[in-house]
Amino acid sequence: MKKLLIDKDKCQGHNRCAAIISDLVDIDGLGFASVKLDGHFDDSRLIDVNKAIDNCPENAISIFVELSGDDNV
Amino acid sequence: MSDINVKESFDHFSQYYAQNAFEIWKKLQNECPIASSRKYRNMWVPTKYSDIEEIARDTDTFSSRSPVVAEFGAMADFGLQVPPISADPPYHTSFRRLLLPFFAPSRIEALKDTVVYLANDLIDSFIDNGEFDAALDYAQHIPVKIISEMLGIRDEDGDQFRMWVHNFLELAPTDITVAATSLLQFFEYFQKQIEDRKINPKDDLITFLINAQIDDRLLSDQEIFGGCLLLLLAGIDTTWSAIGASIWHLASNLEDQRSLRNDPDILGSAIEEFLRAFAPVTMAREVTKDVDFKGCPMKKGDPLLLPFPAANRDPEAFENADKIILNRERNRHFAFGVGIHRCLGSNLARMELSVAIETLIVRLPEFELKNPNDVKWSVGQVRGPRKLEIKFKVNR
Repeated sequence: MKKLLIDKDKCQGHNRCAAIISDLVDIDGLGFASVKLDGHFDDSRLIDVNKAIDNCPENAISIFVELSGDDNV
Repeated sequence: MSDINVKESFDHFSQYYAQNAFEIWKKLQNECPIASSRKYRNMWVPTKYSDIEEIARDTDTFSSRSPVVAEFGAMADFGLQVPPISADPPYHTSFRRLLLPFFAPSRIEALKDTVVYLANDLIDSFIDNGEFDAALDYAQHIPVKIISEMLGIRDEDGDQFRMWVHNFLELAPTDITVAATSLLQFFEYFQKQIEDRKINPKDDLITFLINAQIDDRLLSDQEIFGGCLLLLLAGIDTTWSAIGASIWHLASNLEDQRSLRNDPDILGSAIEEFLRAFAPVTMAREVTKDVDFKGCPMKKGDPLLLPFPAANRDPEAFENADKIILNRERNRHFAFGVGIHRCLGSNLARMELSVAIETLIVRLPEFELKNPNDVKWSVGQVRGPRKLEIKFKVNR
């Protein structure tokens, strides 16, 4: 499973991610972004997630790839 | 180009710079990535994306206390503060957090209808004429109206605001008399506004600043003035420039104008591309201690320009940096700066720019420049067209 990560120390509230993957991020009352729910996203959203990464001026967004249960023995 | 030495005599207030900025940045990136200028008290001018980012993030070595580089001295030494843009941490952090809710996406969304109405109203005034000045008849009115509304000030004073901003940004840094006179007029005007809000509070930024607290104390009058001045300086010519430059591009590149008409879905990425390629704002820093930066002997107190628009055209950071690609996929531009001073009003600016461009494209038929050689660009740290005559066919 892939998981979206947003580094809260790096985010400066540009809101570029909110324009591209609004279904995956929350914006707080000050304009800062955080990951919605647990951040897991479907592979069908990968292109947009990568676009959000490529458009964040603060380099605050990344993808965490979790090993599946089988790999995790 | 070769007759003026931009490497050692960089002058952001020269007409030469206003008309040739793209070529100057390119030349410097290739031959002298950190230029300097004796005219502006040993000012340094980095033009590469990576250097500009490094400097913007190093707030210990590069202070924000004087965000405009004037010929005659550091802004801060004249007691002029416009926090949080002119502040360093930790004071910056407190002041910025105070203002952030005012510019959060939800609050900006609520202003959109006003901008849509205004853009249409402005277009109504020239749609039967077949020509208009996009800088003077259209672009400049949108931010003035919105900033006036945020400050709770009458529309009639818009002309006054425009004049002050023009004086502050384009004339004052090289003319101390204009600087002093404009500041006095500004203080006098806002003193009256502040007195008025103390008796008649409104839902506006002035009232908000009067009641606001930082670290358990009320703001000083100096800080309230500073907040109002910042809104004028940062919110008017900047957005005016971004809207104007985008229209300039569309009017001189009909292919791109047609693409935007045929495929409105690219508006979002097109706006980002206009922001990248025509970023209006150059900020400034002040060196806090003697330091060798990439071989440049910077001295404590030296001013330093941060031309974000140059960073946005650095070929090391962007593929085909000189080319306007409306659906550019990878676009980490610095139009709104980078790091802790990210433009507080970026959501507002984007909204105004998108509405202004979309409304114009929808309402007008194909438009083009009336005379490509007769476009005037502003000087100083906010760059945009100040004369931009456009023509189009009138449907009768």
